[in-house]
Amino acid sequence: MNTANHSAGLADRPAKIEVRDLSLVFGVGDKAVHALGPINLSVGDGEFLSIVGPSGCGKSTLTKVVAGLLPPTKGEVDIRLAGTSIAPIATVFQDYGIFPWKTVLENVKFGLTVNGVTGSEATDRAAMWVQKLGLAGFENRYPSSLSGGMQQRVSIARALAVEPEILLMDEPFASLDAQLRELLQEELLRLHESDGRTVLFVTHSLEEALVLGDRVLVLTARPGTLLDLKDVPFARPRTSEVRESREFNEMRYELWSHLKDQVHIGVTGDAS
Amino acid sequence: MNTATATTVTRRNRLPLETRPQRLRRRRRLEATLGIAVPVVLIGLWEVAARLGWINAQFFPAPSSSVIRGVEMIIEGRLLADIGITAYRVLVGYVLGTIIGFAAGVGMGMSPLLRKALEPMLSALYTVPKIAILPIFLTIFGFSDAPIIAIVTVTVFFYIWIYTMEAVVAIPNGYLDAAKSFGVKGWAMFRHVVFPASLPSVAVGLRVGVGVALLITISSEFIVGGSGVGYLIFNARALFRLEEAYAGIVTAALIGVILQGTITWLGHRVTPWVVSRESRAAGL
Ligand SMILES: Nc1ncnc2c1ncn2[C@@H]1O[C@H](COP(=O)(O)OP(=O)(O)OP(=O)(O)O)[C@@H](O)[C@H]1O
Ligand SMILES: [Mg+2]
Repeated sequence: MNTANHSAGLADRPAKIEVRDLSLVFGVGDKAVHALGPINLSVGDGEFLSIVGPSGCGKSTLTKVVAGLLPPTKGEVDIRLAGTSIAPIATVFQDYGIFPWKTVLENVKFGLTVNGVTGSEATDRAAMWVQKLGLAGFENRYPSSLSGGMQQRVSIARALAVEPEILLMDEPFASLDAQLRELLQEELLRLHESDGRTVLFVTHSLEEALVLGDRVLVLTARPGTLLDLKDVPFARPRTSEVRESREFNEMRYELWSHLKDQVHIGVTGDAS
Repeated sequence: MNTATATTVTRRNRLPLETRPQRLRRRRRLEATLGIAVPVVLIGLWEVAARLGWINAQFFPAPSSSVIRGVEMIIEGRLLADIGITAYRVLVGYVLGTIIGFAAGVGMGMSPLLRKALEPMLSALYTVPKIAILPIFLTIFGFSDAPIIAIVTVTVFFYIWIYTMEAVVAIPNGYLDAAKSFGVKGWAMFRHVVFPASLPSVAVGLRVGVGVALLITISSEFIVGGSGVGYLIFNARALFRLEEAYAGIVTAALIGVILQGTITWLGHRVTPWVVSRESRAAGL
């Protein structure tokens, strides 16, 4: 895997995800909610794209369209798959979506089982990810007896276990405490840098977006459209120490000044 | 102006940690003792009242005489035969009703079209007191096990259908989405999501259903006659042998307790992730 020019080379890479004129409207008539778009976007193969935007601007909606859970109202999304992984796309949902009726290990195994990996291979793979996410010893517990942060880690392990070509993460670290959050950010950086997986990463934290992303996509208030798409210049392999640098803080400030107005619009519904 | 007084509120366990299991055990024992002691005392009172003539022993024969009569009936071989017949009717109807009700509930829960097509009709039929259909079944099947089994099936069907359908409809989208995002559909969706997600509610339906199945069987036996615990009770009344009727009533209650207990136990076994409030409070 290349390192220093990791992000600089993005423009040359073939697009993995191509979003064209995508719009999504929930409901019809009076009750219609225009949640997203129109938006155009191209995500490179192996790119880590961070997505930020005010609450309710359609970030989750965008990931659900890519995941194939919501059909676009207008426009289309092309996803180029090599067909090399157990499941092509895996999602870590904002509200976890782990199954209360399955134990931790069964949850992590789920994506494998339903995609034809069974028996000891599935168990070994799942056990490895359980270990990696610090859930060892809880394999046979049910999610109801875990803390929110642990449940979220089960959800992350379940997605990573299928070694997807595209990983969709919707505020995966939102419910974690600051220390664990930083630990998992580091882990995710290492994972991404070693396996070159394409990642769409939704977050509320600009800092997190900058630490992790090759680029940061900033969306407007609902309906979410492209407000800004910034290259993140920090070299890889990266550690979360980049946040100490002056450049980092300048970028964060710049993004925040863009986003601030949008958050205001999102809350008050008025553009003044 | 009110005078404010500052206080410190301390939250702590009033008992040293090591005595907590002991306390829990003592509490359990008290609960178990009370559960047994209350009915024993009441039955004892009844016995005394009947013997001393405080109540009319013809209507309320002493419990001991009912027990003696019950034991005699077991020795005669009648009681066990009647229990077997009643249990057979309950169980066959219960199993059939559960299978059909579950299939209908899942089908209608998963397919909005099917739901729109069948729900109005089934909801209307749901309100019909099931015992009212017995004469029709009697005409169709004649005096045999069949009309009783049929009416139990119909009754249980409605319970399981409703509990299953509501549970399937209420499955949070998040679970379905999570499964879909891994490419799951069809049978795998049923096996991994729909079935387990609806199971706790279906278990409640099964528990309610088994009591009603027994009720319907006993009342049908009053009418159909010939055999079964219901007939035994009804016939004892006709012969004015109320000890026999009481023995029959207790038998019916015991069948109910055993069925309900078994179904409840099974329900807990197949839904181990559902933690009861008590065991959660006890930190287990
Ligand atoms: N199933 C739905 N039906 C109707 N409207 C919906 C539905 N899902 C989302 N919306 C609306 O679409 C808009 C975008 O929702 P979305 O969940 O994508 O926002 P978000 O950017 O993820 O917000 P947050 O940061 O709070 O998670 C919101 O205004 C929301 O109310
Ligand atoms: Mg969201």
